[in-house]
Amino acid sequence: MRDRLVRLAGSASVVLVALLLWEAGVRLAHVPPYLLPPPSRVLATFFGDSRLLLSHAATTVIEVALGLALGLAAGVTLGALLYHFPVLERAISPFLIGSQVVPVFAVAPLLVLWLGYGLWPKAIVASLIVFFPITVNVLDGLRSLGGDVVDLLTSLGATRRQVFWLARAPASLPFLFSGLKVGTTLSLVGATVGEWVGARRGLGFLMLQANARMRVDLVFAVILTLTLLGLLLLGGLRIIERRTLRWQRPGRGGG
Amino acid sequence: MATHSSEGTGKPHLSVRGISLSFSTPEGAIPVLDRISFDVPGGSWKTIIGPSGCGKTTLLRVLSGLLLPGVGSVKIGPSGEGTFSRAAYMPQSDTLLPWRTALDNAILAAEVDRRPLAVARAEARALFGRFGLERFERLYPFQLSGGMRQRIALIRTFLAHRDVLLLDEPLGSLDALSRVATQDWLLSVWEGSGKTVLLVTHDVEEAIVLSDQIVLLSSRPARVVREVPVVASRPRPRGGEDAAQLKGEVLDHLAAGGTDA
Repeated sequence: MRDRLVRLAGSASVVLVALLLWEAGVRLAHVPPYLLPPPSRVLATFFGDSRLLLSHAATTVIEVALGLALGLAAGVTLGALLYHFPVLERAISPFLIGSQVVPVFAVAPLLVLWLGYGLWPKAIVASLIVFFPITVNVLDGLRSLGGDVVDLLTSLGATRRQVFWLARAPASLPFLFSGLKVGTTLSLVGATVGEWVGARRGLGFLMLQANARMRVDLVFAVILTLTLLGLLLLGGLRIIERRTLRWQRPGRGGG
Repeated sequence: MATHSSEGTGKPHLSVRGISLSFSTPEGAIPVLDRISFDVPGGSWKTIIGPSGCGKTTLLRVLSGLLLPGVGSVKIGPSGEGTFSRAAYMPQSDTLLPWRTALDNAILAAEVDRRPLAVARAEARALFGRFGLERFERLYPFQLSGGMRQRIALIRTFLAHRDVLLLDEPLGSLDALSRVATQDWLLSVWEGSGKTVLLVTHDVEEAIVLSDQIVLLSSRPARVVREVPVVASRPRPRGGEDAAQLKGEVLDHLAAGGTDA
């Protein structure tokens, strides 16, 4: 507890010093605010325009949630399929890895063309990014079960299906959460980029608008909102993880 | 506990007949078990001792149905029908499932058998209560000490409702003190249960304190060299005179690499 407080105080002072340097630098060098506003101005915009930011954030959050749900469902399904059918894994894994070389953002304009300006193109871009770390982690997780546990269950007369549900699936949960943590951060990026390509709402859209109108303070306020959103999502995920994985020795698999 | 162990005329009897097994390697077949035969009378306790690496664990894996022997048969019960499904195997490590509480680990077999879980939980709770383990019921394995984990694993083996228990060095990972305590505990759980037990250990004193009969195996490939009865009534004092003599005999055998006849 004390260690945590000390660490928190350390991080906070680093941020504070950086902000002070920024503020002082901008003021002393007379940098025009349409190039780089001081942090005080950014904060004023963040709080002054909080309703605007919140209403656009709501759109982005829905896209991220949809993307995560889609990516999670696809990743878990594909991971389980690949586990059950090694032939499939050999056939698919080159494409799976290849798909990660294709810049997903390059696909975004096509999705907008096909699906319009609504939520779905963004959710799909997000899910395309999310599903890969989840697939890989689920596959690793399902394979992580020790042979001694399989022996024990087999000696009790368990079927393959029982071994899967009683042991393999729960053993893969910590891996699933690792995949989700990577995926959550990436899904935010995916949704924002999806909005850049074509949208009428959302934080990415607001950012482009602000940029075009040289409202750099608003651009920074959006970046701040996105950052807070990411931290909030990760924090929420951490809480769910801690509750689901109560059985893990604390301090393991944290990070 | 004694109700479901007896069937027909007597308690289930384990008979092992002419088990041989070789592992095939690129260099050829390595014989591991050589025509192993012995009986464990129903409701009694037999312990296997042999030089380390002689194939004791392999033998238990055959008896529990995890490995198919090349030759030979395993039969359980007075009528001799039914084999593997009637033995409960406890591997060397406790293999508790980390995501299950102590109580839920104890009822694992009930879940595999699709028995009603409420009944199994009540039964497990009664056993936990009898041995003063109530406060551990809701704890996860990482919160338990090694000795406690081993006790939960033993309870899990008992609650499998199998007639024969196959225990592979269940106390091997414990330090000397908790080892002695857990031996006494194990004996108190077993007594009156009517279960037939086959234990593998490398601890001669453990064998003498716990068992009715000791089987000595040779070094690889394992053969049955001798069967030694332990006649003293339980509870047996550790380091008593009879025990010391028996221990000397068994140790001599092990020192000779299990080659004498």
